[in-house]
Amino acid sequence: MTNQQNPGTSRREFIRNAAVVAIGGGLVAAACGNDDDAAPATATAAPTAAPATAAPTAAAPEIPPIKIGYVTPRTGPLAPFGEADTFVLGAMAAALGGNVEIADKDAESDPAKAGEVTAALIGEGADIVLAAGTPDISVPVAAACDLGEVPCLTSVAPWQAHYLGTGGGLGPDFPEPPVASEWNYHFFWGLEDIIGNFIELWNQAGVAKVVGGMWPNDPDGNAWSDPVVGFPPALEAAGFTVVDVGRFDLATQDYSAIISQFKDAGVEIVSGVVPPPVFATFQAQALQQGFNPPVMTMAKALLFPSAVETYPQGEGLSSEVWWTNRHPFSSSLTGQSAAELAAAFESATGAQWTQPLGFAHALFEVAVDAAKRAGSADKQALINAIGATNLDTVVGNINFSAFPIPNFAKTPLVSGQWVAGSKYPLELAINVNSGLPGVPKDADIVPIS
Amino acid sequence: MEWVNAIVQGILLGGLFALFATGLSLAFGVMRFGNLAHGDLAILAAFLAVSFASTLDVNPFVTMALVVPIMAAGGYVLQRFGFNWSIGADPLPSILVTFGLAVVIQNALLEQYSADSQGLDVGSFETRSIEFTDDIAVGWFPVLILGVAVVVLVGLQLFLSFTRMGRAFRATSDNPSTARLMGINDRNIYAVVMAIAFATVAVAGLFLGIRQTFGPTDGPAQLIFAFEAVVIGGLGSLWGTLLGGIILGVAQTVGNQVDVEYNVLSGPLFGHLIFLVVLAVRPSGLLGRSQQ
Repeated sequence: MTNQQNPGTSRREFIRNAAVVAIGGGLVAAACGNDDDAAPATATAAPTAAPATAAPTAAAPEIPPIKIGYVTPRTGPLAPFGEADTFVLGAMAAALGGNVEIADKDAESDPAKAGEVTAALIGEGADIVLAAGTPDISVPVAAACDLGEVPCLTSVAPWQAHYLGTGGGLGPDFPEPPVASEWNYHFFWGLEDIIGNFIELWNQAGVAKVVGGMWPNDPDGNAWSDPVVGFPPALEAAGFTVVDVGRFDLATQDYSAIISQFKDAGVEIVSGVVPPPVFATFQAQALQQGFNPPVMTMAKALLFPSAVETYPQGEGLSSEVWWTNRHPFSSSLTGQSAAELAAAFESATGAQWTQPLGFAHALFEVAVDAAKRAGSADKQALINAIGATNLDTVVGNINFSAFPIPNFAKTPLVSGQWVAGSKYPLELAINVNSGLPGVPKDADIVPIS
Repeated sequence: MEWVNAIVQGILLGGLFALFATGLSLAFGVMRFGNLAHGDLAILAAFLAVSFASTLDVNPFVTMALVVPIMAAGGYVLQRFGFNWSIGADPLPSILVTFGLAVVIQNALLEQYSADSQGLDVGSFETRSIEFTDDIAVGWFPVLILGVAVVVLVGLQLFLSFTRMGRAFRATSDNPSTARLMGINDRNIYAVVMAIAFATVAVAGLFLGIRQTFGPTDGPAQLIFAFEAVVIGGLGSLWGTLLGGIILGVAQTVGNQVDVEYNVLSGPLFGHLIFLVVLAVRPSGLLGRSQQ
């Protein structure tokens, strides 16, 4: 009953977006016709982009005519993962020119919907599909692309969760891991990175080493609590006591059992991976029942300023950080540095920069780079070109042959805490930067009092 | 001690379930009308409160003064000029009509508000609590919900027992054609019942929206709990509905205490099991009038 979503809307949306692309392309084409020079055209069509943007586009080989499908959760509980999309799609439509057609679809934070819209994009003739925003989205999109034999590039899901979800195994095969999905390449960090980050973060805090784990029954929760590669064994090896409440269901309305379990065990660090609305309900009930641990380090729920500001108590919460406006990288497409990209986002939207911005941009960087090298929209040529990627992007170097698991590449990870800011109510302070020393460390984590 | 806490929290949670079930219980008790859109109506009320709270910039509790009358008026009109046509010996038309209404509400909400999760923010009141021991702290807000549920249910029961209108409700429920002979306009009675049902579900929806986040498609899940509370407590008995809600709430929190791992099953599972046992052993519910 819930998922018979109006195909009308998405079709309208598609036509509207296609029109935007066509108009953007038309502008560029018209300007090209006049000046016979692509550089000023790109600059005029992309007013939000920094002035330095045009040169790399002009110097690079032509992008072949290609249709790029783009799937992210724009609405629903995971909506903050798609917060930067409108800006990125607008900037891309302006920067890439008339040969590139972008069709975007909303996965509505629903794995079934994500698969459905991917199949629809493939049916509409997408040559390559990009997707991001938790394994709930990346896994079904990759599966649909595998079925349709269409090149697919995914991100923003820890590689283990994506790999396990798309059929890879971490068991006895591990030394020679199988290819999980022939048509899918994925880049992000892994559990080993976040575990290392969190342990370093919690050692700074100087609180009792008792960790309450909230790993729910979803692809992330199952991978993060895995008895081999997940948090529990690594934390115990590092001298922490783990109170794992089990794979609870995200539809739970009442967290009193979890809260009393944490209280009884003397938990001082709460960690886990839950969507923003779940954390909001949990924190309200925890405070109601007098449970306010000094350290709350959550993945997923505490990444986004827009979400953290709505929690009963946002200041002091901590999280992993995949991208900041201080990352020492710049875009291969527009030449913008991370700081310039974040500034362009802030001036265009009026909102604080958010981490998915860098990764949404990088997905297009990798796709366009591969399309240029492939020289056509031929699917086999495209997937081969993606596999041969070695590109410095705004989220770091992406090289699919540098990582032992086939079809995966890793980007660096740091960690931080939300503190009262000067420009915005809450800003990220970086506490752990061993994953990427190029990002300056601000301070040690300060326990919540 | 944690078991005591689980039971206390369960009783408080039961207040919300009971409030959800009130309208369903009343509509079923008086006119044998099973409203499948009941959960979606609660979500609709919560979304209305979100709109009013943001446009008027007021506390969500204040929006109750607008949302509850609007929903009540909507219930009256819908029953008087719509649902009344579907009432009869055959329960199927009303089920089909309200199922259709549920689909319409969900998709209208999706179109209007998108699939984003919404919440109603009442500030620090939501997190304030009274601490009895280290293990047992009772939030003011859950206490308020339970209090409102008790007041609403007791009030309705007194209304049915002691007022002229209440007598007309009962008379119509017992035998509509005889009631008509006595000069009671049964179509009007039905519409008033539905107005009360909509008003109570609006209150429940607002409380739900304050307690947790909600989306356009969260209604059916609420409907299941409401139905179970009605059936466990006894069809048509308001005291039974309160009891049924509390039993369900306690089943859920105690189930979670047993093992949170299976709580997609265990919390609700215990509730569903109790529901099935009651249905098998005492089909008319714990406090239900036995049907002839």
